[in-house]
Amino acid sequence: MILAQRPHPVLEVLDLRIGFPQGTAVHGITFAIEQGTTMALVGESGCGKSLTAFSILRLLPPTASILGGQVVFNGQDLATVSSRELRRIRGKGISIILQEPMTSLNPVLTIGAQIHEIIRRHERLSRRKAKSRAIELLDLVGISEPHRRYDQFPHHFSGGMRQRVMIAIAVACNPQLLIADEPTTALDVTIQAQVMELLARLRQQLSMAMLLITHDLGAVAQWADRVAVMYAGRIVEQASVNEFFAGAKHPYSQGLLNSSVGDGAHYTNRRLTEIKGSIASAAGATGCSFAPRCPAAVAACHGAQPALETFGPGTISDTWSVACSQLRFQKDRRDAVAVG
Amino acid sequence: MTFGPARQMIRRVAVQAIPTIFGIIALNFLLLNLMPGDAADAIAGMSGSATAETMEALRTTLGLDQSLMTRFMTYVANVASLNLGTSSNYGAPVIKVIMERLPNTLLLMLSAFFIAVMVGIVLGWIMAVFANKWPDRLLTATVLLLYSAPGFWIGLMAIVLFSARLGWLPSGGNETIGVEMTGLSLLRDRLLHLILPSLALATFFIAIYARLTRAAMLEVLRQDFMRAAAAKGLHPLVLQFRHALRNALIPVTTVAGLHLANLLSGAVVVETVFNWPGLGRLTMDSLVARDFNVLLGILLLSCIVVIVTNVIIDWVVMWLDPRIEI
Amino acid sequence: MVMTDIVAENPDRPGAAVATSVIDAKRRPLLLTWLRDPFLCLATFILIGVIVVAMAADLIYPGDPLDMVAQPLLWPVQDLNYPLGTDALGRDLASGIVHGARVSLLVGFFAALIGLVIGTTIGALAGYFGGIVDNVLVRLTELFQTIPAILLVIVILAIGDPSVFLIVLSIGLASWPMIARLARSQFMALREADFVMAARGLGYGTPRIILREILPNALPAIVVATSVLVANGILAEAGLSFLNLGDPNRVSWGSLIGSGRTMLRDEWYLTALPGLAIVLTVLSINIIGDRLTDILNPRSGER
Repeated sequence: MILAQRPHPVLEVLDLRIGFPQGTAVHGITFAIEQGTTMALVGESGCGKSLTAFSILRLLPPTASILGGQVVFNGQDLATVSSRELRRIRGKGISIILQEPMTSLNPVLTIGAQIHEIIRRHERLSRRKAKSRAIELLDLVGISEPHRRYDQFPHHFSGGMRQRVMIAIAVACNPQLLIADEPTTALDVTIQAQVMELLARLRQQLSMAMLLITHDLGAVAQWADRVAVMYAGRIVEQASVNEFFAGAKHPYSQGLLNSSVGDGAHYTNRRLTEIKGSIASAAGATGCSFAPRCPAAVAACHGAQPALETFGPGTISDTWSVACSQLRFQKDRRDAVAVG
Repeated sequence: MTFGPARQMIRRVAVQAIPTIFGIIALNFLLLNLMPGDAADAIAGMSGSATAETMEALRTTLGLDQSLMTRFMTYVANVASLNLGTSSNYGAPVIKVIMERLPNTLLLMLSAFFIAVMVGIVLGWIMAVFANKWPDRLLTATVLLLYSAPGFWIGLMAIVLFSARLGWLPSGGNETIGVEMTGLSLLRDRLLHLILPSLALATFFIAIYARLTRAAMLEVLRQDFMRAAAAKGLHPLVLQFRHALRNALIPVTTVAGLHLANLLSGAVVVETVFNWPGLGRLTMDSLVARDFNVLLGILLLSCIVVIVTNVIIDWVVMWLDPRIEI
Repeated sequence: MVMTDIVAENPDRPGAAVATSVIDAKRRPLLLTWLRDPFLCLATFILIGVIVVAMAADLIYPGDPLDMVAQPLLWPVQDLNYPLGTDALGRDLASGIVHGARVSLLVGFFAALIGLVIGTTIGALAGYFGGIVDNVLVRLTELFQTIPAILLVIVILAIGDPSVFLIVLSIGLASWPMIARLARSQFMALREADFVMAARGLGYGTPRIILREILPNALPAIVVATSVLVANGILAEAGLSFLNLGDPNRVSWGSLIGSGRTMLRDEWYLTALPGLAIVLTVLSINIIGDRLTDILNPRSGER
């Protein structure tokens, strides 16, 4: 039987570890993003999802560093590639949109100049052509009167409009992968939907893959194809969005789902259940990091850190995988029964 | 920059300077009245002696018997028409005596200012880029040393080294006397004489601007937009110059003007060290000769110089920072 | 009881941020930070050494430093009785430096004190009351900032009789604007703090709020900034006595440099050594001041 060859994933993160001098923050995570799909990375503040996003393009804060693992893009390991090569990829192969639109634009340069410079950096266009392309981009992201706006400074723009400018900069050179680090968290609720729609539309138009960092499960349900849940620097569950919302297996994922309001279709009167406790520090206790807060924890959970295991056919990155000792026991028992 | 906004800018900043100028004039008037003796005494002193009647008559002529308010108004009117009185020491109008020497002091002060700002910004930038690594530590120590040494002492030590021992640079004055020079050799001569005094004056302020720039750069490098700019794949030098430095220069220039008065202050002392023919020497001579008109004239004009340069610096800040609405 | 204690237990309210940051600074182990930093220790030792030497000047070198005691123009260590050499009139340079420390330190310290008092008062009033009081006081501060310090001192000395007191006063008058600006921004920030609102709610009067609630929280930053004032006061005094504007009967480091200037070409040690004394002292003060600023604002030195 001839197996159809699966297309190569755009980005493969393999056992990535990120740390500070004080300790490790991301303890070896693995995931892959297929072409043209959106992968959502969810978790509470401090779980390491933004760090993961920054580390892909090596934009970490000065004290943080990649301790190990690989970030494979187009056959190159971005974690070890030369600075020169990395600069070629930034903005062209992979782009990133940051969380805070109010502070992500240089206040002393016109927004036109800030779009212009990325175009001139990566494409062979004359100044005039680059400028008209920049104005086209402003129009594409929904900025009215782009000709006039081109020469204005960031402080003339609202938060939502600045984020649109950031999107214009990010898609200017048709990247293969767009990383969006909580793109709507800092925006008004009414604008959030508009910006997400814009992102989704552009993604489709330009056939980009997207890594969406968010803590908004509603956005995940609406826009993502796969979801990975992070807790304390580890991925605890990875699945397709349908599988996840139908019935997530990890206690933390279940807690997240239970404490969100619902996907709009089913408003109920049930009380929102919260996850007890607060996020553990990512550095070291033995045993499962979530065990202190887990409603289903048993003694064995405090013994060793559970590994991410698959619960379906395929590899960790394209099927349902969960890191929970309990589920492993269940799975082992099931397998034992099946064999025996 | 179109002319409409420029005119508004000029107006706005100049208008803010006027109350300060007025305050200086008022302060000067106050100090003038606190000076021991008055103009009549000074004139009488010059002519040897005088009787009580002559003094009375003199006072009436000089308007010294009028009320304080009238005298103040007259004073303001005089200042506005650049009449700062007569020097008892030189027997000439104060304004003339000062104007003969003011350009020399301005030359020294502005040279030192430019050196301090340029060198300070470059040093501060290097310190920020290598923050907490050895180049930063070394430069921080050097800068701290520059900040702790009196400018006039550095000038003296520089004379010992570069003038007495090495013979590279002249030890004083602003020109070689007795030799007729023109064109390029005149320029060279003047420059050689300018180097040591302006460097001695600048050292303290190099330290100030270096520390300022370092702090401003570190603050800018922490900002989100620097990460966003790096994410575009721009070269590190582009990031430094086009993005970081342009932002860091704003707080540095904003504060630059605060030190101009101190610069002028230091110039007075450094001029003495190098026998520079400027206001410093005039001040000392006038103090010894109890020539109060000249002293107060120098005080007034120095303050005006500081205010005017501050206004110019404010314009530069407005030009640099597009967020300041005109 | 100070309101800051109540707020410390509720760190999540916006106005509390100001108060708690100051509280944290006090509770960190100060001695440990001090001991771990070699330059800071060195600077502290040097400064204490200079102060001790200045206080014990009469014990170390009894007699008047202006007395001619030996052969003129002896080089340092040429005659071990006079380890730093002698000047053109045969006066012991070491004795001069030791006695000169007194004048330099006293002038620097007291001028800074005057600047501190005036500056804090004006800055506090401007920052707390705002409005027209603020406008007027800010104008006044700007006025004094445009006056070159030396000229102000010289004019004041021309009016009165030159004396150490007048020098101290005039340096103080020239240096208060910097403290006023700092005090003003501190008070402007602190008057919005929760504990001030609480105090007002309890009916505390304005003087009490300013003096017993806000001032203790504003003081650390202001006092640390005063170290700069002391350093610059010493430098200013050196400049003034170099210009022979000081007390002619007292030796100071600046006057030593001034009198040594005539021998600059050959006996340059007469100007070099007193200058080094100034540099060492002022450097130590600056290092201590810098470290204290870092302790107060932990982020000022980091990336």
